Amino acid sequence: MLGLLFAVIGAAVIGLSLAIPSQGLEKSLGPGFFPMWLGGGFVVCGLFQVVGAIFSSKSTSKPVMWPPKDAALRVAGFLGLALFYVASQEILGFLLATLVSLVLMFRLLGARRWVEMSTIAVVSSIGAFLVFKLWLGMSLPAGILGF
Amino acid sequence: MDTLGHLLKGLALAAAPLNLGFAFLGALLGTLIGVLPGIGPTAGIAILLPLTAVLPPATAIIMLAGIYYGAMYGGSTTSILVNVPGEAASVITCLDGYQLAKQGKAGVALAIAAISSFVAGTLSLIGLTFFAPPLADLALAFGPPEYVGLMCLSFSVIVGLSEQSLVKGLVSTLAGFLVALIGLDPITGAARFTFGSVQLLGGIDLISVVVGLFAISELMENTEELGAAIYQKITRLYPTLKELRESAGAILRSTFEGFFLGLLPGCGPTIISFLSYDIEKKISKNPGKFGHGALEGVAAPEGANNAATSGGFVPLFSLGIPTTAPLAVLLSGLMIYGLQPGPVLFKEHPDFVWTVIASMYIGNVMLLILNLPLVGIWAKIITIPYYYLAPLVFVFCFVGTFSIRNSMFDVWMALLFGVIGYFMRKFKFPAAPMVLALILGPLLEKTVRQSLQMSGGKASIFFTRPIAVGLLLLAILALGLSIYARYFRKPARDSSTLERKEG
Repeated sequence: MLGLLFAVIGAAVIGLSLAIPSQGLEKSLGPGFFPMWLGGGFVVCGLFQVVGAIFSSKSTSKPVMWPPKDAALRVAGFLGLALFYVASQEILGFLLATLVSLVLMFRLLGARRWVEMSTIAVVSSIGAFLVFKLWLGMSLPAGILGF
Repeated sequence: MDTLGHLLKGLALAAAPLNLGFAFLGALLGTLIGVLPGIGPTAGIAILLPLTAVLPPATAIIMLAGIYYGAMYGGSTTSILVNVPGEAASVITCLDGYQLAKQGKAGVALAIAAISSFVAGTLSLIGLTFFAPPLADLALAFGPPEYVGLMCLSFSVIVGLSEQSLVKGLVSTLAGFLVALIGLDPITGAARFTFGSVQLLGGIDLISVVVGLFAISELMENTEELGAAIYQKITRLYPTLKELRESAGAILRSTFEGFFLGLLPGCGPTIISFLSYDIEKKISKNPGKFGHGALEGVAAPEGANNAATSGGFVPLFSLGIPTTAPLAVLLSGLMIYGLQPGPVLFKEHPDFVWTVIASMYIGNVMLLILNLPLVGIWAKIITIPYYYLAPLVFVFCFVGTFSIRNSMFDVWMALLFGVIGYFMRKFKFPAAPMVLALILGPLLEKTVRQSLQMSGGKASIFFTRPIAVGLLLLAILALGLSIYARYFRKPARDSSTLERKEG
């Protein structure tokens, strides 16, 4: 299945590279030359995988080790909070977004003591703000607080 | 100036307070990364790489190199005390290290690992000092066709980096090439694969890809299991003279094996540590004790992986070839500073390269001090709960990626590559070849097109210049040997053997 996907990607890359204007250069020297070969490589590797999958027995091919449901939910939750952290930067600003996201992430991953996790989140977010923004002079997102 | 003169000047520069401080910080963070299971040296360097952008180039690379060889030292601690390798090159150390710990000799095993790492690290640095400059001198005569040969030699490491399937390694390499092509063509300025997006015109930042593939995907994968470590207590720390004598031969042999094999593309510290263990077992008068607490079983892999780490800097600095994943990330660090590793590095930036090499001698002494008397502290660090560690590491990833171009687009890209990296791990696609292609791809494309321009479009230019032909043949030989070693030679022991043993 994946092999087929790579072969399709390869064909698409070849198609797109043929559409790149050669800028008056000979085809072998133009900007589309390398991508075309690259697309060809994808097609070959994809077909190799397809052929390999057809001829290898089920007992020899190793299945993908997907996590159990609770672990998968934890990974999805972590990713969701990571997305929230990045998306909220321009609204909440670095300091608030870090503080809120850290508490939520600590809780999601298994921390249970609220006082401990809140203290670590407050100290870490203020510490990171002082080091990165004030000491190293990095331009971190300001958000509603204005700093 | 001769090699010794350069080294002495480098030592003087490396001893400057700022460089000394960051060498210590690198060694400290490297040991920490090595100790903490779940964060390897590649992810560690990837996380901290963007944050070093505020430092002078030599200081930044001193710190990042310190993280790499520091992780090799620290990786043995968890192998011995917890039976969980801190990084891949310490997997084999678990076999005898943990057995020694169970026999109440954890301190001795840790000391032998640290001494072996120190001796091997220092001796192979002497090798780096004297091998790298002549190799770089030789490569100074290179034109575009020779660089194409060199790039092909670099890509022969893909077999070694391809973990389980060569085809998957190749797909990963092609994907890296594809990502590198996004943006403006460096020769004609034509837009490629940008789909009308203005942000994509500038290309995808290397750091976003590195942080996503190595750091964020590792955090996601480690989130699946949040088990706590159980470790053996440390008793007597310093080995007796008899125990030192017992390990001395293994330390010296593994240094030699590690350094010279570490020069070869495709031979990373992990493979070499397994090989060195196997050699010691084969030449031992009592091979039966291996796997049951043999000191040589700790000394050999730890010596070999540290020697290979220093050995890997020879092709990196003199030819621009990274032989391992952490070195590929380190190479991207050099590129960020506008330093092109390879023949001209020694000629154009001698102070930089010699300061970094000299700092490694100092770093090795720092690591011995950090790892021997302070081993008790490292053992306690293993108990930091992952639910606190992972979110804090993620904040570092965010700040590091954002700070390179002050761009939220880069952070979104890092997250996207984090998800891609997670699925790559699940489907066993190695990430290191992708980064290698992302770094070397643009250079390969440029030199191929320049060569073809020189010859009027004839590919024969690659087969008529002696050095180019030699490098291409060397690439084919390295590729053939790596494929032979991978598919036709029976491995001595592998991690599955280890798992069976534990089970």
